[in-house]
Amino acid sequence: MNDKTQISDEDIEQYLNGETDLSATYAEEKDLKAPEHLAFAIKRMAREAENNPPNNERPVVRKDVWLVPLSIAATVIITVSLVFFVDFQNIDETNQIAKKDIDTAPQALPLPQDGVTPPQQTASVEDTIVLQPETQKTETIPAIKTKPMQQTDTRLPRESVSEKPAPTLQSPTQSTLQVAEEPTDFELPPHLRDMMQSTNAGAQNEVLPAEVLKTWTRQQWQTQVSTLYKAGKDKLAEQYIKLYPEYYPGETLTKP
Amino acid sequence: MEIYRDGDLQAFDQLFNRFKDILYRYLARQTGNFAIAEEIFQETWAALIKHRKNYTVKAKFKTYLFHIAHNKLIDFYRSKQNTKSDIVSYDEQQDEMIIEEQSNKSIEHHADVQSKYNHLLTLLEKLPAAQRDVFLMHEEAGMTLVEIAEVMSVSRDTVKSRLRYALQRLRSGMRRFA
Repeated sequence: MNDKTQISDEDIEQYLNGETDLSATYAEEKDLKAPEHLAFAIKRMAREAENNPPNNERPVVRKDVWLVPLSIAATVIITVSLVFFVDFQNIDETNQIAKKDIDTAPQALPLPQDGVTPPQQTASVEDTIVLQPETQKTETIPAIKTKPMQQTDTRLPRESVSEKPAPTLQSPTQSTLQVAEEPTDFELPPHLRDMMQSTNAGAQNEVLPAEVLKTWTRQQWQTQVSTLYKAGKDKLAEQYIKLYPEYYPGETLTKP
Repeated sequence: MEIYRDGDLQAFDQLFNRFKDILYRYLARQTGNFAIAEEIFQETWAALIKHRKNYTVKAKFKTYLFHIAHNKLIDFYRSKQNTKSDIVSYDEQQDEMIIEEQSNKSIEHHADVQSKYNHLLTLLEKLPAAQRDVFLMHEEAGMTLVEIAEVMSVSRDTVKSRLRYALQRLRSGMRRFA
């Protein structure tokens, strides 16, 4: 170390080996020592830490406390989501089934029997009119083209739309024949049907109209008579018993 | 340290008695303030006690202890720097000319009454903290360049460079004094 600007690696090596004046000078006096009160305090600190470890350490369980509310919240969210999902899925399935029934119903219609070719559903009214006799225009075409399933057709039985084929395209003559030959297909007008449905036999004082009675099955007759007897309206029940052979010739109703 | 980690307090006493004076002198010379040195000294041993269970044998205990002390010193310098204290930051490089002027003044002032040792300490105080750190770790704890590099978390070449600058300045100051 000859000059202040020239410290070689050898000089550094000499210093590290303790062969320089700097190290010797620094080593002349090393009487500076740590204060006793500090030494005592630190040793006491070490003993206290060793004797009371739980006070210095946090319980491990506390680290996971935040998981509890998070788990509860996640459970609630998942449960609510599943409930709503299932409900909406059921609604969708119901809608799809109904839509499918509506879409497929016209395709299951029977072909006409009288040789008249039915017009396509997409055909216009004017096109169809050309094919039909002039007197039949208003009876057949509008019912099929506009509202094939929703139209209130009194000739259809009162059953679900999906179970019965939609009204078919028929000639007027065939329709008329069907009405005459199959009285069971007759369906009441809405006001009569509602009246029949809301009928409370116990509250009746007179016989229901013939239009209603002719739609009744044997079981309905029997039920009506039984109900009237239970309600104490024996005369009215006997009137029904008398009327019964008119609708079911050769049969009689028995008094319950 | 491993024995103390397993709960033997006598092992701690032995470690403490062996290194307490070395560490205290290092801190006192490094900070130039006994009160601050005592504070950092206590914090260093408290940290060692607190984290004793996490101790793993990676190096000498001396290196481990001085690593803690060094980090405490860095924290101290940073806190003082934030509060705009008169104490210079750890990495701040003082201008060489200023040091030389102060050294000459100190020579004039101390030449007749103080020993060569006190003058060396005065020169030491004027060194940048990082250079003083390297010198003190070697003088007080007998550490090699590699061990000092481990303590300071820098490369060996960086330590060597800092030592070179420190020796250069101390040598220059002591030559004028002689």
